Amino acid sequence: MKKLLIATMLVAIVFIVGCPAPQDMKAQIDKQTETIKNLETKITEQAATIEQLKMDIEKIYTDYYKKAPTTPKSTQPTPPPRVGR
Amino acid sequence: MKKALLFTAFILITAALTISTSCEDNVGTAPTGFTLAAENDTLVKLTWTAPTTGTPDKYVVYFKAVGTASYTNEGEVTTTSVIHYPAGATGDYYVAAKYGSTEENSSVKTTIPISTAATTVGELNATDLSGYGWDMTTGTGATYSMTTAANVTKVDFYVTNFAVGTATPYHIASPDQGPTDAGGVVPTGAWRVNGISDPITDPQAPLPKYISGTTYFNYTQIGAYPTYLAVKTADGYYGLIKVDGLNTTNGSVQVSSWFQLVSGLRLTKH
Repeated sequence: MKKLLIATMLVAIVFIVGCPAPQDMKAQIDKQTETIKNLETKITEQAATIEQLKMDIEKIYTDYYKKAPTTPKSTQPTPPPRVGR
Repeated sequence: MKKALLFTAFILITAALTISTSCEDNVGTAPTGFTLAAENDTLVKLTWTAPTTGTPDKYVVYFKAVGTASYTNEGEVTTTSVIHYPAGATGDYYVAAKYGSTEENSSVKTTIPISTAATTVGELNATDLSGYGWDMTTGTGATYSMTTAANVTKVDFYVTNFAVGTATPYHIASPDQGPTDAGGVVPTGAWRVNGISDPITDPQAPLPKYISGTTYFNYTQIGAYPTYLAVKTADGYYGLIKVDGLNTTNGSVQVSSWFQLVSGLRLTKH
């Protein structure tokens, strides 16, 4: 009886361990893996786009201040020309 | 013989005394119409009219410089005008018609500038009145609003920072700068075109000589307190001003003045 019980447990273990994953589950995992990869690719692309935008904006700012006239950043008023009479 | 000589001497002395007394009784009157004018910007021309009664032997010109106690004889003439060089001083004048040893005095005229005590003058955008002008008859100074065109003939300078608000530094400006002043409160009008000098180091010395386009300007910045400036009005008068008592809270200064009533004379010793 004891031997029969042990044999039954071994059969059960072999069944559980040796049972292959269902085909549709594997396909689903593969699909999700692919989706993750696609998302990673998109993130990389978006990061590159953001980096490019940052560079463009920096260039625009640099160009603007280079071309802008130099105005004194003083709060002092500007009197009219002082002329002799 | 001796008695005869003594008698003759007595007669001669009596006659001389009689003639002398008689001459003193015939003294004329004083000169009239005594006036002062500027011969140029530092020379004073005195003019008067001959007395209506009597013919004086000569006229004596007297001058008492400001800050001194007594008159001095500046010269004797037989004309009815004379040019006086006061060496930068101002003072009181009169002329006396001299009859023998008797003098008949004219009225007293002066070149001492008219002093006006310190008065609060506001920056153009401050609460206090920002215009200041002299009465050409009395020489006294007073403040006026720069926001009304009715004051165009009364203002000789105003205080401004050439901007909106009352921040320093301040400037003393000719009234004609008002309509274009960035302070933005002065209406258009025939405001006086006066000249403001550079800061003056000796307020007792003659004011700067007017040299066209060189010594008087449309405005002068106040860099220190007190600062003395000369103002030359469009009609040829000179005034000395002292700018002191900067109050940055109220946006105001204290202005004192000495105005020369003799047109064209740049002497303001006081």
